[in-house]
Amino acid sequence: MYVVVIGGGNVGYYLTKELLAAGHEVVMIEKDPGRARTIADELGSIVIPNDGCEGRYQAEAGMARADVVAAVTGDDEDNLVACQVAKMKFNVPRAIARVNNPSNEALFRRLAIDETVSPTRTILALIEHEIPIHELLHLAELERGEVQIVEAQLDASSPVIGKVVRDLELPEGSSVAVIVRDEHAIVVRADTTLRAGDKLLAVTSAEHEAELRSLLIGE
Amino acid sequence: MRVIIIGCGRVGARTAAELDQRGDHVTVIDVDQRAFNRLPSTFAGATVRGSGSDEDILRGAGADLADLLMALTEGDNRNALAAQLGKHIFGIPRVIAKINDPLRAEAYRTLGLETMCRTVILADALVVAAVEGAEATNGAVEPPTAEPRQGMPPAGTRAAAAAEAAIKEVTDGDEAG
Amino acid sequence: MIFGRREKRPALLSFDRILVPLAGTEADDAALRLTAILLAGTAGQAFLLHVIEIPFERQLDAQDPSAVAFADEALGQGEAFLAEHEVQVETGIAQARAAGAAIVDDAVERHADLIVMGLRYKRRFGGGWDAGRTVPYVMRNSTAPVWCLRAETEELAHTP
Repeated sequence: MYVVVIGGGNVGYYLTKELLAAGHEVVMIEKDPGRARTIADELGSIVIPNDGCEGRYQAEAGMARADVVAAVTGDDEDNLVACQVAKMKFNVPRAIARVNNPSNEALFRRLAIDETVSPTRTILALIEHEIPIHELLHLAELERGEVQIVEAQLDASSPVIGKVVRDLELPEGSSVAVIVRDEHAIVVRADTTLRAGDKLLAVTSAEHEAELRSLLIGE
Repeated sequence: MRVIIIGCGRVGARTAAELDQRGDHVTVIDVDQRAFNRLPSTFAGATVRGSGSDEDILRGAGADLADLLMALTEGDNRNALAAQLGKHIFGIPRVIAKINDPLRAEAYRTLGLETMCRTVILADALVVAAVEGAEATNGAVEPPTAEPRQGMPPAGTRAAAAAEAAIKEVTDGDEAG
Repeated sequence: MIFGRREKRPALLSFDRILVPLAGTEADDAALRLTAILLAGTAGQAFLLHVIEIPFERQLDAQDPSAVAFADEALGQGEAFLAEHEVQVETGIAQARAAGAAIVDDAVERHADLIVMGLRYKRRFGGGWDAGRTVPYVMRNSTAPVWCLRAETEELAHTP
């Protein structure tokens, strides 16, 4: 694959190294000339020392034949603009943007950035995994947010304790995939009874998430 | 009209002041508290300290009810992000973004943003001023309103020759008339 | 020729393999002349290398017949000149993103004990001397010694 990486900070640098090691063709665009030179000295003549948000330098980087563009600078707005220019001017099939501020993710998705990676949100999810909270925990989003994989912790106050899965009035497009009980994953069957302390891994859509939450966790 | 202006630099402050004077409801957002010193003391609008690219700040500034958003910071990309936030998350009917890179500005016009490109505006006006004169630029370039009082320019310069010619014209005229 | 065939050459100036990157411009002339001086009548060998720089817009192995023709022309001229001065010479073409890296790598592969390069005199807008990208790169990164010959210029003659 031909990948253009925008941003030569830590993320861009290690990403480029990994991609090269995996045998892909990579070009990096990094604004700071000193940093660009340092990286080029180590990784070879694959760094363009210019602003990756400008169409001109994206063209120089061969964006027209890129399979993927990954914008991983430390600034959300630069990543957004870089991806938008790449898609608009060069029709790059996949644009991936690093999003530092989680609340920008919704906007980026809406603007047809194919995939966003939010380190903040990932770490937040890991932290919250240890703390019981009365919300659905987001584990993963697929298909641009349309499919959500969530985790619900059923405590004693949950409205579905004692119910069998068959009788749950799950919202449209939702299903319970796995129940984790006493640290073991059990396969969900129609006649499985839900108990306090169960962790449910469920699939739902963004639209019906709130409904699923009220059903499993209550108000 | 409810207007949100992001960036209280010289342009943002002056725009805010004029719209405020016309009676519009103006809110100005800037990360730097001191930037608001550029607003006149008569400014009756609201000011919010924070980043105009932050959804929560924009919401607090009334983005849900705004008619117009102008993103006027010094960062083209920040303005593009803020304007799109305004348009796609808050549904603000009109968004204007200052984008000084002409190519990027053109690209964002295809995404529904109004753009102001300082580079093109100023360069175009300067060319017109050079070729046709300041008066042809609709106020972008303004001619001098007066000349300073001065003695003779240094001898041997073009300015000195021009001054001597002008004096001669006047004195010849006096003699004739 | 400065050194006759039977004269014993002083050890200081004896080289086995000299790599001479050719740009295909008048900058090459001085490099070729120096190479002839150093190797004429010796057992040493000259390798003439022309690197075709491929921009990122194209794949690295893309074919460019006009660039190859240009390379052949430059190498042919260099080879003829050196042969005339009784220097053993081989030629080669490489394709790379950046000529500097290709030159440094080639020197290592061939175990060259000297690189000789020519440089035209160029200025940037604003007057600074422009050494380009390739020569500084080779200077910074080559393990073999590098001799760079800067061509004469009329530009500097115009100082007041």
